[in-house]
Amino acid sequence: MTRRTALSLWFILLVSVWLAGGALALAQDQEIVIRMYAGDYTPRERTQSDRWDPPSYLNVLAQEYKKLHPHVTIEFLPEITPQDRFDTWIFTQYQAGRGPDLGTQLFSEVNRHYLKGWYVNLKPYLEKPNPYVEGNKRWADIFQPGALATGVAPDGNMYVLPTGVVGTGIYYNKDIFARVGVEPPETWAEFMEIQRKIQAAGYIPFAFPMAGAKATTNWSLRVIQDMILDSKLPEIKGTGEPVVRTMIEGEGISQKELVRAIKKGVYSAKDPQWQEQLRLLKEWSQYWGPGYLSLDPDAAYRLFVTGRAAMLYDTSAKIKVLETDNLRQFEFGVFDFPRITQESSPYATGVSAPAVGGYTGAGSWTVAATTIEKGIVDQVIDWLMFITAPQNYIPLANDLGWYSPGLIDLEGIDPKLEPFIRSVENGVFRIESFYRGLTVEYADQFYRVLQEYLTGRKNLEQATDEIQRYMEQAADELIERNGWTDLLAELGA
Amino acid sequence: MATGRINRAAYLFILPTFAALIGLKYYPAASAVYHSFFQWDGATVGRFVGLANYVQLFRDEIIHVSAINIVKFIIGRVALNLVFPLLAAKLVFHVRHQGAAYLYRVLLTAPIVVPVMVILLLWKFIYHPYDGLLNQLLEAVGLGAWRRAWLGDFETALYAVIGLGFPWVTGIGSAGFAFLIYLGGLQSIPREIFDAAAVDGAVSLRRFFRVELPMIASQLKLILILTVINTMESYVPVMVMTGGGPGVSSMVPGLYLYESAFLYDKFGYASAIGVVMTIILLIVTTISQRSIKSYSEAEP
Repeated sequence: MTRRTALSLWFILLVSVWLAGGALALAQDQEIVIRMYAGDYTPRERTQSDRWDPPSYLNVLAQEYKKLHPHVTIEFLPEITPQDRFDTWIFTQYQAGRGPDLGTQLFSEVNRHYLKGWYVNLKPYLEKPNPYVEGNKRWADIFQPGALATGVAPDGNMYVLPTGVVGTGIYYNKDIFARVGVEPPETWAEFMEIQRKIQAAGYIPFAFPMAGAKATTNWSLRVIQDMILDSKLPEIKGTGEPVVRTMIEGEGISQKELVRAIKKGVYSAKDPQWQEQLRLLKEWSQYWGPGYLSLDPDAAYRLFVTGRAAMLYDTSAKIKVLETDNLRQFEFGVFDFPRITQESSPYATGVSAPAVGGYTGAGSWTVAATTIEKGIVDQVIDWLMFITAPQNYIPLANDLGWYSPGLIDLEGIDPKLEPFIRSVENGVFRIESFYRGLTVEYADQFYRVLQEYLTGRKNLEQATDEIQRYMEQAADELIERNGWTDLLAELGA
Repeated sequence: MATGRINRAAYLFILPTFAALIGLKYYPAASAVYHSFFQWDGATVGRFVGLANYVQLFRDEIIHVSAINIVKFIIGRVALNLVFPLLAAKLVFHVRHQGAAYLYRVLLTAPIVVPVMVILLLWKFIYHPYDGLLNQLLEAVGLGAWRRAWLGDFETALYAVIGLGFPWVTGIGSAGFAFLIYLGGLQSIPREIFDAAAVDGAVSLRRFFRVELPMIASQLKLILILTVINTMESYVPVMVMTGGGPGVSSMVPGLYLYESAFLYDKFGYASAIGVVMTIILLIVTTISQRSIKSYSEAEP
């Protein structure tokens, strides 16, 4: 090939790329494409491997929106699971300037990343009227106050609108309970006793997954810790006043208060009262069946739905799934986590178990900062306003059947979600240190040591020595990351 | 003159490849070395910390455990990739019927096209504590006492991941080509050498160790180096099968690097892990390169 031919080929290639780019820009002037990551709400067709109906209602909303705004197309991005894969995906997408124009991401994740400049501050938009809600003068007025409060970042802005309310409960197999002759327990002692009987009858009492997602362990420890440290919470908070339960995670003991308590030694893994939660969890672990360290949530669910395990701790997201799963051949019910009493622990005050949940379901909406550069931010906000209008959001939530939208007007919501919503309204856990409370790294470190403790590879002293060290590292890291110089001054460092 | 013009055109055509190589390979590597001296979250501006990441790395207990694990992993995978595909290649090489040899070749290489993720999920199910094939097989042959949660047991999790892919003829990833490479090597040995060996009385095992093995030494070296590099870099099997657990019993440096970067926002520290891994890899491959001499490289 001659030099002239080669140069000609290069020239043709460059012109083609330029022309294609121009054509694309021209098309973009006329058409707006909103790339949306809807998480659990991602619409898709039912496949042969599905044992229940996947959600599809966002397709309906997108079509209705298209009728109102013919130049706007909503492109749904595929759902990414599990959480750690999602974390990687979202990080790389945003860093490459390809973050979803409208996404859903947990408030704690958004708070971890907001300093990177990925998100639009939604506060000014919430002050504007929502044109899709009749008579609305201020968009914020349609949301529950808790949703708005949960979405506020440490800098006071609002980079996420967390509208998905989720609750948890212990699902149980009514048939097994009837066969064994036990009732849903109210106290921890009763809980242990019915599990002993269920195990003796040849069933796995509790499908407890400790591989993959760490949710079941985290929820359990949050609930147990809240009850066991009930008498100590005023000291941890630093006010001396009783710490009340609300619907908002982190409103009891904030991250900063927890860090202060760690640095002052008030919250410590070496404290026998703190260690009590590990002892109770270990006591419980004898009923999780062999191999719980290799059970992921799907495998645990399968043990429960096939009638081999009698109980499963899960969210409101499992109701519809269990109801429609053709593997299930039994009746199921849900009960609240049992109360820990003096009969089981000297540190119990008799306070009831808190709910685990809150505004942490899918529907924690974020808008990418790149939408400003692309000139489509107003259109994306308009689409979000359209979705969150009650006449659209309620059928969307019912179609999925997992979460209740954090709206004030919940008329028409699936009544099966009501017990979960009620439990969350009664108040969620006041202190959290196993997942979002400190750092992700600490949560992993703690979890690994916990596994060694539960299986007897480390005794309580060895485990808590290690946990305490990790906890202090996490506290120092958070002080540095957040620039809590006032805290340093208070601590005299 | 004409040759010069052709050469220039040729360079012009390989320019995009070099540009991609620099942009996608050398630049990230150089960036990792640079950022390993920073406390950096991967997005915002980092803070220069000198050698602090390297000091932390050598004190990190998880790194110590994962370093031991990766040595076990490499030894295990090297043994499996050197022995089993070679045995299979040797057997197929000696099948006299052309049609049968072709059939065996196809059957033994077909699993290469199965996506790695499918293989991993399949093995995860095989190791399942309740419904897994392995435990059911053990039960069926009267070894029920050996049943266990293979991936959830501190003693077995790492070895279960190392041992996945039975019968190990077509391993996962690029190791899957080991069988074909060995077979190609055996088929390229001149017929006269076998005839001469036969005259000298070298048959069966003696022929294998004295003739065939030395003649395919370069293939063995290639598989050895590829396996070491792939195993050292690879973290997906561990991530999918055990997540590095239980505890850190199956943690490997690659997975810890990934977690440090993407889950803990410690891209500077992750870069330091990557730099150390690269240096170790370079040393190990150089030693392997020099310690095994192929037939053509051997002293006369």
